[in-house]
Amino acid sequence: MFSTPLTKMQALVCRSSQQVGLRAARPQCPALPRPNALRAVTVRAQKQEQPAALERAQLALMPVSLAVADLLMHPAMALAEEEKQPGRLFDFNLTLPAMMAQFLLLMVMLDKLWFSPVGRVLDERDALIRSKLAGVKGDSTDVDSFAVEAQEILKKARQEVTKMIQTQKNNKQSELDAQYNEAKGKISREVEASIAAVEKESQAMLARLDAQVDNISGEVLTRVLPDGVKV
Amino acid sequence: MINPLLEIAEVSVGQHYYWKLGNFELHGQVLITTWVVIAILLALSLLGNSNLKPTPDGLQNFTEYITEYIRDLAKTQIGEEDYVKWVPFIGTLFLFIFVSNWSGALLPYHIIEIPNGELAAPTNDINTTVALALLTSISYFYAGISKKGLGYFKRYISPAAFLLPINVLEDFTKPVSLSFRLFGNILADELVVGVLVSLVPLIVPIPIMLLGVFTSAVQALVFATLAGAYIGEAVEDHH
Repeated sequence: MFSTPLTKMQALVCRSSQQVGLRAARPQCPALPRPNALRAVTVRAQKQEQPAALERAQLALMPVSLAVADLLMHPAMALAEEEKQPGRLFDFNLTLPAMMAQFLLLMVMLDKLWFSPVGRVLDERDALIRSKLAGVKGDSTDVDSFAVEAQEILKKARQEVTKMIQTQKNNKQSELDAQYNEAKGKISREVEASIAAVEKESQAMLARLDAQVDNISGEVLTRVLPDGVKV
Repeated sequence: MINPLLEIAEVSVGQHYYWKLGNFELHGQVLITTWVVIAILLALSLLGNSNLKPTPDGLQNFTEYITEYIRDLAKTQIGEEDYVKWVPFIGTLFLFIFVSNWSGALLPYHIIEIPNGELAAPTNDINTTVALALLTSISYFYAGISKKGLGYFKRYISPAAFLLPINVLEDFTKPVSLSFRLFGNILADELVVGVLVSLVPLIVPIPIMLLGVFTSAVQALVFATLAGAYIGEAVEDHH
């Protein structure tokens, strides 16, 4: 139908210019099969009533006014300032892979900064404690021999001590015995001496008493017996 | 004109702060809060682990405690032989989800105003939770195949061949359940707290906020434990 293939844009321009009645306005537009002659005449007639300048201005503004009308008809745009889009909960978009990528990055960073270093410290501490425990377990036989040795030393020491105590005691005992005997001897001597003295005195006393008894009995007899009787 | 007093407390669901990257859109609020979480975790690592001593002191005690906890979790779920190389993955899962949930519950994000939507826990967005669940799926497949080669696929017909459809279905339900469990818990807690705060801003929301702090911590543990369990299942020998 057309002599040369037109781009979409050019076809649109040609069509729109043809619609507003500008024939042959653009040289590249192919000539249309002539429209209904009556319609063309009507259009031409209408056009001839208006002055030329106004006609041109109107034609120039036509696409613009069409666009504005289109805009006003679109409800969302009109209320854009006062009304939000209805909320959407299940709104999948680029956020999903973005979150996956961020999570993997976070995982790598936390592994480097947290889980690996702290894990290493934990494992080292564990190994240290295990090795120390194992080392100490091997010492248990040593500990037994040490215990036996200690017991022996203690026994010997105890024996020594008892011996020492014993000798000290014996020395002291003999000392004390000597003192005791000495003291006993002294006291018994004194006691005997005093007993002897007392006995002597008692003998003297008895002798005096005897003499007195003789006197008293003689007097008693003289008083009791009548005169002239002799003892 | 809306009464300005009514605008102080508002609950909006599903509003996002859209960023454009070429032909694609991003949820800006999720990325911002994720960067905050990453900053907190890296700061904790640097402060605690920069000067490690055989007898720990200060923050090293805390980081050692967490590492031991995660190692124990991984060992219980995966088994004695293979668990060490999975500790970073499970640990990062646990820490990321834990810190995200608690940052959303405890940090006063609402005072920062962004053009659309609001800052909250990054795990309240379906993209985050599905990303984590998909990573878990990929990792248990990787674990199984790297250990057993193509023999890994025998588990689809064990213990009996008629269970094949169920086993295949399980591979789809595992990531779905993981992601929706976490997403639902966190988003629902945020919504309940938001609604309560818009109704009675004092005292009444506090028990729900405490419950939210507790359950969000539990969800972090559950996610990490289940990830470990799936990996353990994939690498275990036949009984």
